Amino acid sequence: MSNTHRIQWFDQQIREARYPNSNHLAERFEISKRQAQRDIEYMAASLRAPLLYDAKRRGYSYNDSAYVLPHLFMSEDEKRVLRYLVHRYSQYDYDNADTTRRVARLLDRFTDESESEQYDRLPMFNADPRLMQLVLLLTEAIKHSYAVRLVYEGEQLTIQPTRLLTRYNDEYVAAYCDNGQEQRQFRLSSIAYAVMVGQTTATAATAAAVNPAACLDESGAPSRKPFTAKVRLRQPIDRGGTWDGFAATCLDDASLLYGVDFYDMNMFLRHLMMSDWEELLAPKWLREKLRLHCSDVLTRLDKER
Amino acid sequence: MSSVYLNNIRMKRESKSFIDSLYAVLTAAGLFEGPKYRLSGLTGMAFKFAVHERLLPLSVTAYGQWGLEHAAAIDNLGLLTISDGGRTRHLTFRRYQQEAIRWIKQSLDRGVGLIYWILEFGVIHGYDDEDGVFFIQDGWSQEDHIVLYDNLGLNVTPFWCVEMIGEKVDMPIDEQVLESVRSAIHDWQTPFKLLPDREIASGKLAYDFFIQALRSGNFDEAGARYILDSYRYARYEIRDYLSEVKELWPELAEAHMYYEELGHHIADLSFDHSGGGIQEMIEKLAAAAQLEDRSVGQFSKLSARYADPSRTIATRWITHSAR
Repeated sequence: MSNTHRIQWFDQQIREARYPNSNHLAERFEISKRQAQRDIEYMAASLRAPLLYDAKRRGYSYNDSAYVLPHLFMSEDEKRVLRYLVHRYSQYDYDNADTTRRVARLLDRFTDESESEQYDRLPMFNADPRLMQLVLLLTEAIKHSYAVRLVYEGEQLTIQPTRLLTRYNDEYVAAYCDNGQEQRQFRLSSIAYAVMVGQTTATAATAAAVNPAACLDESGAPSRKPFTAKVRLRQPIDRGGTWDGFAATCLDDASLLYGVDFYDMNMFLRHLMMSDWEELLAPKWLREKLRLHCSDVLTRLDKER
Repeated sequence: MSSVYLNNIRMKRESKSFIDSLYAVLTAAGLFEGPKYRLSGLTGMAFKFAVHERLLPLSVTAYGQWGLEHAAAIDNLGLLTISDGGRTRHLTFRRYQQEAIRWIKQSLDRGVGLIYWILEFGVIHGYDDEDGVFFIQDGWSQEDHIVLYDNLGLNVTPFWCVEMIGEKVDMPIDEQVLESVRSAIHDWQTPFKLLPDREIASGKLAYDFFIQALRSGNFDEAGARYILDSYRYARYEIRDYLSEVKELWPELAEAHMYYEELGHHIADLSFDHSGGGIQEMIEKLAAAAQLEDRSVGQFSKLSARYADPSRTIATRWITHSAR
């Protein structure tokens, strides 16, 4: 659909109460007035936009401000968020559960798939990054039928996860235990440690690539800002790219100085331990944490000898 | 560009998170001496008990409007306290946040830590202007939480809260004890402290909510464990506190006896064993509720012997008029 960007612009103009009309649209995108008129007709007829022409202002507004452009404008990311919501809502079991499930079914229709695929990569919410990391690992394990070795309330187990569940505030994973055919549910927050069995590649990089979307705040609160580390790298990274999943901006081309954004400290520390870099200039507390961590490891190594 | 890092503050999670934080701040600043249960008792915080109908873990901190509860608690120690907080979605949030950053730093410059809502309460014990961060302890981990100035107040809950501690005046111990048991009576007799919300009960009704949830089996397991641990710890705190102050009045000695007995009842309550566990737990909790009710009866007897100007309902023009 080549008119998507024009319709999005038109929609935004209406929301900003600028009363756009076909002339504005034609001018802005250098298209014919006829073409612009067709776009507006398309919005009204096919997208069911409640367009109202205001003769006094010579432009359009919405009759119903609750209207939103339909799902064909949804990005992949947004769809993923929606799929996650469908998953959460359909498992919801508290007051107004029926209504909530109805909402889930409704949302499900927008996800554009015959059946929601829950075990795709989940979006990050304003949640404990460690827990989300665990969810990612478990969804991956469920998808590829890997077993997971974990420490649950002090007990070491190997499980075959089958699905993720949500009850009240808690996430659970249902799984078959290694010691029998019995299916058990494990509370994610009580899992001290988990690792996929039979897969050796570290998932840290893929997990890091998921932006812990602090900007996705359902309550309307201001979004959380990331920490920024000043790192001098050994090799330049692609313009506007990421440093193995962490958003990076070039501060000085010549000296390969980058500002790298991160939300979860532990994940970034792990990344620093594993990847190649020249110098960590700021922040001070991060240098201190890394130093402490390294000296701790060295002490333990020395003890082993 | 300045920075402060108060090394002498060491928060440890044992009691309610607010008491743990307060204890860490006060002992480091030399504003309180003695064991934690004494602080928990004198502030009346040990008596606060709230339970969500589904035993959600938030119950433990949902014992009322923090502004009112905490101010009264700290006031009883003879300490000045100023707090700020609100909803982060409010448009004015950024303004309050910037202002809070200013006075938090001021307090840290004076060498006094602050109590801060992370997800439960923790302690702000340092800042660094160069990196623009605060250092915060949660009491569980040895490592600090690092919070950017810009992210101050942002957490998974929709609200923020910071509490500052000021100067101290001396108060007679018997006045403090009397006020603490009066706050206990109030907590015990107020069924809902977060009206219009009726999902979280306080005091006596909290026991009923706990028992009902256990009976229905429809509750949050992690929350239930947390509430139980916190509940048990608080009862031990009350027991130890009363044992210390029981010489003051005979009513307290009797209440102490009840709490001794209550302690035995709840000592081995646990979710770990299955089968008859829940039924046994319900019986023990019901017995505990009765004992606590009798203790509060003693507190009421004591309270009735002395005038209570701060709670009187008789209209006296001096206290009611702004003239």
